[in-house]
Amino acid sequence: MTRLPVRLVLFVLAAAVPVIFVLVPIGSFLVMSFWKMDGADIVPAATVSNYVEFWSNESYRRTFLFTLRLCAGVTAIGLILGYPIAWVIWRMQSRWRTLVLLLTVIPLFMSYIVKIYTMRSILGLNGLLNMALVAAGILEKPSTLFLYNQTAILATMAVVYMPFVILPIYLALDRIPGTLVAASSDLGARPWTTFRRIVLPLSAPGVVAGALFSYILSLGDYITPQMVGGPSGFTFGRIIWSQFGLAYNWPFGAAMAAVLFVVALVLIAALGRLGKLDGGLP
Amino acid sequence: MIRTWGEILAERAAALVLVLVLLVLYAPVFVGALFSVVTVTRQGIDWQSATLSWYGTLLGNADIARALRTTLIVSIIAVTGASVLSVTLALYVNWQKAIGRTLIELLVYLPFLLPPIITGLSLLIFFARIGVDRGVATIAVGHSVFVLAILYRVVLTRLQSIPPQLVEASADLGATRWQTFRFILWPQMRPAVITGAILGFALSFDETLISVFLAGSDSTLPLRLWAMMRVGFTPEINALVTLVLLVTIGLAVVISLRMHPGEGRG
Amino acid sequence: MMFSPATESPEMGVILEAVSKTYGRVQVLQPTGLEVADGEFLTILGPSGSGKTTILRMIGGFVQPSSGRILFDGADVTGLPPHKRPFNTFFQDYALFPHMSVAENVAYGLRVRGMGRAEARARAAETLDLVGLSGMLERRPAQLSGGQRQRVALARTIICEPKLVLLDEPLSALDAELRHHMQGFLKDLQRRLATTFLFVTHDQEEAITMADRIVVMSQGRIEQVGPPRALYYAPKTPFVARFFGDNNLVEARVEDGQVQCALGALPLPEGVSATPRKILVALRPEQILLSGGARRVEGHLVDVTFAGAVTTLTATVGGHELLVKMASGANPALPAPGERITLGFDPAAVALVEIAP
Repeated sequence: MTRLPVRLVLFVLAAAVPVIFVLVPIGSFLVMSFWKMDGADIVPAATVSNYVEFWSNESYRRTFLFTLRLCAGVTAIGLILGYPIAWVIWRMQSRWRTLVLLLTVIPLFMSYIVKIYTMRSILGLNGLLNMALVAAGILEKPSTLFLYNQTAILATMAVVYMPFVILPIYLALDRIPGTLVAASSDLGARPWTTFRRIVLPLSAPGVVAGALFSYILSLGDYITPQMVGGPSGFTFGRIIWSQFGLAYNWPFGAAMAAVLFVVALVLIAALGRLGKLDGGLP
Repeated sequence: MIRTWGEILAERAAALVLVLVLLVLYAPVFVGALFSVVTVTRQGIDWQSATLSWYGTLLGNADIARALRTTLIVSIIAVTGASVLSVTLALYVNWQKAIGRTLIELLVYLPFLLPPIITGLSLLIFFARIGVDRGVATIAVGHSVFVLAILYRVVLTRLQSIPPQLVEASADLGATRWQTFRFILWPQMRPAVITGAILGFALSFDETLISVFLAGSDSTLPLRLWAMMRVGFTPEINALVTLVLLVTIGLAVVISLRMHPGEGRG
Repeated sequence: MMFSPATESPEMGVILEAVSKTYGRVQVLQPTGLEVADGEFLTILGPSGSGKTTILRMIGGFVQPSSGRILFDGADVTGLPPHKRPFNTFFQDYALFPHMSVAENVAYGLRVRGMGRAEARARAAETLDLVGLSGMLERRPAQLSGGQRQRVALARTIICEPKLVLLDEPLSALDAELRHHMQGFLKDLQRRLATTFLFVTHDQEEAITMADRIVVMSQGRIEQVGPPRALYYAPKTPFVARFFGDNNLVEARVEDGQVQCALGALPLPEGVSATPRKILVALRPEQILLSGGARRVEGHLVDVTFAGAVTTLTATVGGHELLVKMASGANPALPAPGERITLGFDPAAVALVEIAP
């Protein structure tokens, strides 16, 4: 028996589960995106009407673009706050560093639902933020401004997805050999110059990875908008979700999910290239 | 290295950001704990009402007990399945200089990189098409697929760090493939599998976005929480929240102690 | 020639005053003083843990001394960060910036000081020619061989015309042949640039062939400073006596104005104290002769080893085993092992080595 058939058999065996439970399901929703609803039944077809419907409906289109912008905002906040955090942890002495890094990683394991719930407790009418502001005299009485609107979605998502940004950036910084920073300083570069020309470019892969995680994950989030967004809390993710819930239009949901899928793939592919900028750090 | 005052200032400022962000990130723990023992009225916090009795009520709640059981079953199944699979895949990819490695890795990592909503609905559609009802099994599959990515990465990294000479020496001494695995590779891989399993368990324990699509009449704990949340705030919910947080934080600490900082998500 | 000659005044180089370094409870460098003369090739030599790298890093500005001062040209530079010091360091791992081309790496020091891109690039090209590496301007470090990367790192270090070049074990990663070649190259480069080189190594042969002066260190302390010959033939401590090549160290005693040892009674040199005490005497194996020598001693031959150009003999004299090295002749007139042998040496060549109290 030659080697090739054996290897082929093993490959098939090994690949079986990922193929069955990942590739086939993705294929099936992509296929379903071309089907349609006939009354209360899902009917196989070969139509692009779902996609047309999505793009021609102004409210759907607007929500899609709004979500793209919103999640960009979430990611921007994550980067603006997350980079300095990753940087300062990187600069710490090693006994502090381990502890603080642990502290920033633990929230990744804290229950997703709970985080949203807490943000509601904080931002709500009887919430901590209002209590603090009233007690400090900044507000006369509790305000409804903080919850059930788009700002609340932005703030909550920023809190939920921040740890996803911090860790990849820290890992990228950690890979930079210390002698490079020393060499830059030795050659006469002031600390800001060293940061700008050496540290920042070399940490770029981590920044890209963190931004990708945050952006893609937040794009598909459908629970946060419902819980803290109030009546205007409609994001793309929520629209998709409702097609599988109350709205009950699976083909349409599949089509919009396909759009999301393509966006995610394009981003991963495109920005995956940017990650090669460091010129091959070990 | 000697630092300039500018650098020190920057570090202090960044440390301030760190502290503030950590406070917000850990707010759920404090808020949950606080509101699980006191009640809130229009006038503010009623400190007089501080009590641990809500934890007692919680423990007697049958709904929650059921949801907790479901979650544990799902997570254990998912993690076990993903562990076996990740070891198999890691061995295949590392051993055979395999064909199709790129494809396999792509499929393994995809559920982790894509938004969970896509994983959830793709499996929902798939199960509906092949006529499988939603239930514990479907949730478990959804979790396995998601957790597999992490376990695979952790296990593969460990496997790749084992010097190939060990395998060669074992074969040279006459061991079969299975014996080599059992006596040489597995003892070295086991710590990584355990770490990955704990990691996977923690992630599966509070997985929500995929579970929503795949749960039938059974509810997992996070789903139960969500349902309770929509109704309103009660100290009982907060008690549950606090307990859940303490468990997951405990798991996270265990994991981090087992791994070097620097091996984590991604 | 774009590099300026060294300044005239030997006192205005780097001066270390009672500099020490302690990490936690461990003192890696005891209070140490050192003067580096302008334009010299100074090697700091010692095993790992001797403190040699600590001194280098302190001069570079990467480590703060726990006590003491560092002066340069009369000014106190102890608190200055590296980017404010007119010194450049050649790192052991080269520390080339992986995301920049060779030209950008070399031009870096000029660019951060404000020089325009075109001009800096031209200077970089010149400097690369100077170190013998041309035509690689656009390559990335990952595309170069180890030796080429080293040249790039060297060019980057000297392009800013630093007052002092610090080299942190630059040759230890190289194979023997490349090493010898680079030793000659660096020595020649230093002469051409007329810049002060501070070279750290653990390799005594490297130190002895390249340095104008050597600072021998052990366990955080300077053992001896001097030109290679002085250290080789006139070691002042047992550590230094043993560090360079092979040496014969024989226990001796100062008594009645003479030195008594297995080699006989030797005269006490001028200026050496006559206090009765135990000391060591050192005599290089190549200074012990088969024939000739002002003083002859009797002993027994133990072993003969032919090692190409050099033949090594082991002999016992006065109960002490001595190593003897001689050029291998075509007809060596040697007794057989076990037989008596007479050896000669010049008493003036014997070095007295004090044992620390």
